[in-house]
Amino acid sequence: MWALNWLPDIVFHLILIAGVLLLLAGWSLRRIPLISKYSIPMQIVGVLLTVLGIWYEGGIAKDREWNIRVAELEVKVAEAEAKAANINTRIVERVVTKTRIIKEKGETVVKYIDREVKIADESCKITPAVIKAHDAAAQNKAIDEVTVPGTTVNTSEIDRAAQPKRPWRDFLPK
Amino acid sequence: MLGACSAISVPVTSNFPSIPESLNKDCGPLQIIGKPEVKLSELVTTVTINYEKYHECSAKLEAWREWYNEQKRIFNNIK
Repeated sequence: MWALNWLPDIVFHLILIAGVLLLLAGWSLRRIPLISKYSIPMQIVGVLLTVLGIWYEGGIAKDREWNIRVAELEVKVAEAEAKAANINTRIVERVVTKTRIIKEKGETVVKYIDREVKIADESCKITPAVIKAHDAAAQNKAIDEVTVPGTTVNTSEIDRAAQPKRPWRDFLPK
Repeated sequence: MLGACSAISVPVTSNFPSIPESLNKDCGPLQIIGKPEVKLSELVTTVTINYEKYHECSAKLEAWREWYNEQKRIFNNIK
């Protein structure tokens, strides 16, 4: 089928026509005494050309079918790319709107804190443990991994755990 | 024999859809207090800001899901 790529279709149409004509000529010429001896070779060549012609006609038909499908697919791909771009625009607009609303609501909460919660600042003391718990949660760290600057951490438990263990004989009465 | 042609791949290429730039960003770390003393209002403000960050990140994730589902639907229609 490679020949289809560099030979025009008309060549294969002509091969088929030539094959059919040779077949017919070979069949009709066998009745004429002088040239009847050429009848068989003409028919053989005719059959070969006809088979070759039909083969390539099939190829041309299939090639055309594929070209149509390729064109259809190209149109669909172009449409899909346009739709994808539209969806991106829609999603971006939605995210921008949502983010704006979230920020606006957050600002109202902060204003409320400034107005109502600040009153309790003096009466409510926040211990370093609260800060540590908050920062550990915010950083997704274990409590022991977090150190709040300027605070001392009670490490007596850790120190005790780090002491070498006494052998059991030390506990026996002497 | 001509049926064998149907196994040949069609020479049509489609570009992988690009995601919106705004979705291709990290959510960023949450705010910490990071000092030994803090007022209650300051603490609650920090918590509020962190919740805000969560909601923004959640909106972004939702957008990602929508983007994926829509692109999948478009892709499945190309046949």
